[in-house]
Amino acid sequence: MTDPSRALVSAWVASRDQDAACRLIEALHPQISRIVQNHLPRGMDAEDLEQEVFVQFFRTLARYDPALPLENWVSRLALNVCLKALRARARRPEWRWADLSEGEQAVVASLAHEPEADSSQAQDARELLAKLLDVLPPRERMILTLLHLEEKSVEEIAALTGWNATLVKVRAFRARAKMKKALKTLGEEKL
Amino acid sequence: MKRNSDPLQRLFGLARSARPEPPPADLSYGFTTRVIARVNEALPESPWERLALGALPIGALAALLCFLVPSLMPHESSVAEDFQVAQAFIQTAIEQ
Repeated sequence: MTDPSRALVSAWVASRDQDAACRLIEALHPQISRIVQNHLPRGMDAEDLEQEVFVQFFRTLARYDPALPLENWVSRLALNVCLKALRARARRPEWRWADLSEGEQAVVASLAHEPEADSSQAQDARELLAKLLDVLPPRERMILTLLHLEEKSVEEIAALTGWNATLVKVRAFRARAKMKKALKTLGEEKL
Repeated sequence: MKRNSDPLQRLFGLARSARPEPPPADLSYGFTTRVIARVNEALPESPWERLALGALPIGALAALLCFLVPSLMPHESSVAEDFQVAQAFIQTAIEQ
């Protein structure tokens, strides 16, 4: 934790200094915003979830151990809030070929047939992936996002989520199997 | 270069290459105020604050009793003192 952040945290905990709170929000917003964007449930407003993260942050700040890095603590807190939001929303049971946009359909087709995917399809691929991830249970979805989109290691995920490394691996394996099946089904529907 | 034959891994690779939306450089108008208002709403009062508020009527009662009790009590000590003064006065007068 940097010294300015340490001072701001102390000022808030000791006297609920509003100015310190404003400066903490400004300093932590980019980090929280990135996490929220990656784990945002479909149809939910990112700003609402960011607000929720900050409210939880200030509510629990008195329990924060200043010996630990604030960034890690904030990441863990933000992931927990996102997980709670993912659990609260209704999960989509499946996606059909007709639900996909033309761009997303093209990505499915190119993954099945073309030797190399076209990099111009990257944005459509991201949207298709978001749809496929949406079908997974919240924890599996979070693990795959952290593992394959944010490219974090199993150990890093275990530290961030508090789940043990073996559990992370097992959940990732199950989630990948479900996604492969969903992708295959979409490819077959196309034919 | 070896091509990844797993469609899912290729999908992840392609999605990673998409530039994610950058987080907004500035906070939206009123964001900080809304957060602080919600925090103040959600936070319980500090234990000292609750103790002070709870102790306020007790303190007021104690202060009231401090004024009332002495005025209601019989002034035994002052009566005894008056008696001694009178005795001393009489004694002095007799001796003279």
